[in-house]
Amino acid sequence: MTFEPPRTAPHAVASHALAGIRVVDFSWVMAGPLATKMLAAMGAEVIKIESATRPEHVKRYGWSSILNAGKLSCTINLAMPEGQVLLRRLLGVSDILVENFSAGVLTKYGLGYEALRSVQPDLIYVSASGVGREGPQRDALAYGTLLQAYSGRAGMIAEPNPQLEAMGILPAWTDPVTAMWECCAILAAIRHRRRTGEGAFIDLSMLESTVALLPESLLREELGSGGHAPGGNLDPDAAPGGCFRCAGDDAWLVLSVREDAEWAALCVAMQRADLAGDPRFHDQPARHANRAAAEDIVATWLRTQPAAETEQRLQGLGVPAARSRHVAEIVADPQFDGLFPVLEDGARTIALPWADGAGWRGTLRPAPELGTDNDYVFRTLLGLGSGEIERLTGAGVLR
Amino acid sequence: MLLEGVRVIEWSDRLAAAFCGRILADMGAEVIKIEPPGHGDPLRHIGPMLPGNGHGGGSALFAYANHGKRSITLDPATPVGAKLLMRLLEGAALLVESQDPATLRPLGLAGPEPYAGNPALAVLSATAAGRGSPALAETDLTLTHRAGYAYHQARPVRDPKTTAPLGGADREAPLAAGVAAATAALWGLLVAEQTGVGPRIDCAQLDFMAHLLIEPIADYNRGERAFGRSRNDLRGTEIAGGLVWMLPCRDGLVMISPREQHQWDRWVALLGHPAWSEDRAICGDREARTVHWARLQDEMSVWTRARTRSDVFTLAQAAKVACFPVSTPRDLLDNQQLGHRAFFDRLETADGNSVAMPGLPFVLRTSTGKTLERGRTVHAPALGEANQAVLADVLGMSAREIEALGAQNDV
Repeated sequence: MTFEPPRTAPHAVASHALAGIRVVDFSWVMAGPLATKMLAAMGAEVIKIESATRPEHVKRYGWSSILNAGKLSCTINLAMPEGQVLLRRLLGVSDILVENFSAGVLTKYGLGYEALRSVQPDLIYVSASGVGREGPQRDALAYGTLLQAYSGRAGMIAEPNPQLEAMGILPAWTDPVTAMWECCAILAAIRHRRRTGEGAFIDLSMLESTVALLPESLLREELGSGGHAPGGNLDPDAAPGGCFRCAGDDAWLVLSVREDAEWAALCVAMQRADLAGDPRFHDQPARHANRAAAEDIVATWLRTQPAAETEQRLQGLGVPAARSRHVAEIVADPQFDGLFPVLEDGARTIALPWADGAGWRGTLRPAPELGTDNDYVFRTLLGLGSGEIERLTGAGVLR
Repeated sequence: MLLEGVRVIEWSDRLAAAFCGRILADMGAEVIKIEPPGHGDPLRHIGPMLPGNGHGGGSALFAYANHGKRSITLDPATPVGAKLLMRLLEGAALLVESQDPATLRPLGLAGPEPYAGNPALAVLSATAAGRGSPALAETDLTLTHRAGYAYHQARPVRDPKTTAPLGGADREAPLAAGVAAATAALWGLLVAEQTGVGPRIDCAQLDFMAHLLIEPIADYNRGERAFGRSRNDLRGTEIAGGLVWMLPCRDGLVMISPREQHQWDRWVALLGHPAWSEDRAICGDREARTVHWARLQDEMSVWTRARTRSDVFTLAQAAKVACFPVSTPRDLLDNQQLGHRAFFDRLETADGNSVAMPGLPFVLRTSTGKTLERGRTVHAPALGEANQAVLADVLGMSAREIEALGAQNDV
């Protein structure tokens, strides 16, 4: 195996905002890997620290190739003292450490922030966890799915049910939004480091990452103002509004009527001129008061309408409306060109959620196999010779 | 602290853009929010409202998304307003906007090229569907469905005919898009600081929501194309049972996930090794537990029903089993962990009280011990409260020049 440096991207400058930044990535599952994938897309060199001795590194899930695109992989057994020595040396030539282990794991191996800061003050050390590294619950064992419950989110989307259906448990939400916050904090820390030479410790909580996006429910509770924050298909600003079934097996259309003009347009679309003068619906307060009646009328009408044509017709009339679509329809829609690029291995990945003026959305290569970049890390970065690599591999340190 | 010396001009009526600006302000940027004279940002008029009369009250959600900024009123459609905006942009590092191209064109901000008056200015468009997309009538809910997220959030279900695809919780879609926008903005600042040229950045809420389809894209890569929602056709993909259970307690619900065998063993030990837990046919491994999840749900509920959420949470976590209560908003406001970490800022209200609102979700401490402040006392800007100050200390205008503008009703 030989190391192949990242290819030069077409938009060399913008795509290398993080050129020269090396990230040592201990993170696993979803939030951490997604954050470091974004760093890789922006030009950072991200080295995943994995081990053939850990089943979760050996078994690659379908989404792990999506989350690890653009990274390098090397295998070092963190639990062995010689592995820890090598990792400290690797960190010595790196800029950022990202981890989401259970509490205390890296500290136990001499890789905690305080130990590293004393020798490497400009290190940016990012520690993500379920509820944070400080506080009475810091040792709590957490998974993203459970944090959807602990954050209150699952109870705000629909009635909780033991089947866990349609209540916001899947697809992942807490993990990717945590990743977004994580990436945001890291970029700010990088800027600070470039200007001042200072490193930073970032203690990121998945719980807080989720709750920070649910302010209205908390404010309503605190202010005792009653009413509802949006949740599920309820848009409190709209009446009528919601998700309605259309003609066909599983076709749904969501719409929101917030203004008189939108109501008038909806009446035109429904060919219900009679409703335009109906006092139950004559202005928005009246439509809110008679929301159920208005939504019954819409539901009855939409049940026999084709979703795609109706969406187009409502949009043409200025009524906010959208079909509910699955991912294959999203991938096929030119609207999303560039968001789901096909990499050299033939699989689709997910690019950055923003584009520059030329449409660039990050530079990504296929996810590495376990240990693909061992030679680069061990020889080029750590300067180990063949004999030493052989010995350490035999001893189980480099595997 | 982190963004010292960064001046941001925010010109938008979208919640995502406002939250982007607030995050940057939290991290130390000076954020100047441009609002239309008269009524200001439409979000100022959306409830719930804070206590206090007249100017004292105001929208709590507006306060959440805008505290820490300076508000000025300006109409860039007027010649004087346009001139003032362009002067502000000359000294700024970043513009966050969601205006339509026709509004941006006369200001020289519509094209992909760097801003003539300040080539280092990064320009971030935080729109609904992306720059250059057809202008559709959208709400946060229609965007969540259009992006595919709503469909997958209701998949699999027992009865797709009666269970609609559904949107998310609270204001999370626009706010999360705001976090993405802040991240994109920081990327833009790094590019500008390295190259001297600020990029144009297109960060759409629609793209952000679609970009969350991680597991669905993995299924797509495996060859799935139909994506039916019926649970019958998707056996083995459900997470209820085996991986996660939701169990009733005396005062609400908990979720637990004793997914690994060693976790399961500790969980049934906590329950006192009841007879059913010894039956290998129903709970010998994760596969068996998934098949028999409903039976196990009933059995385990006997134990949890006799206890409070807090007790089950504490006991399970002490046994190293992942478990959390399903929180209500009240629970979160009273949550000890969040309280200990000073997660909530306090916004002072006109009646002399204060309300808690979430702060940033991370503690950040630099190597020299400086920290991003948490548990702050924060203030929402009144409409146009910084008009005089911004014109004077940012643009260096004299009192007489400012007075002349006021007389023309341009500011």
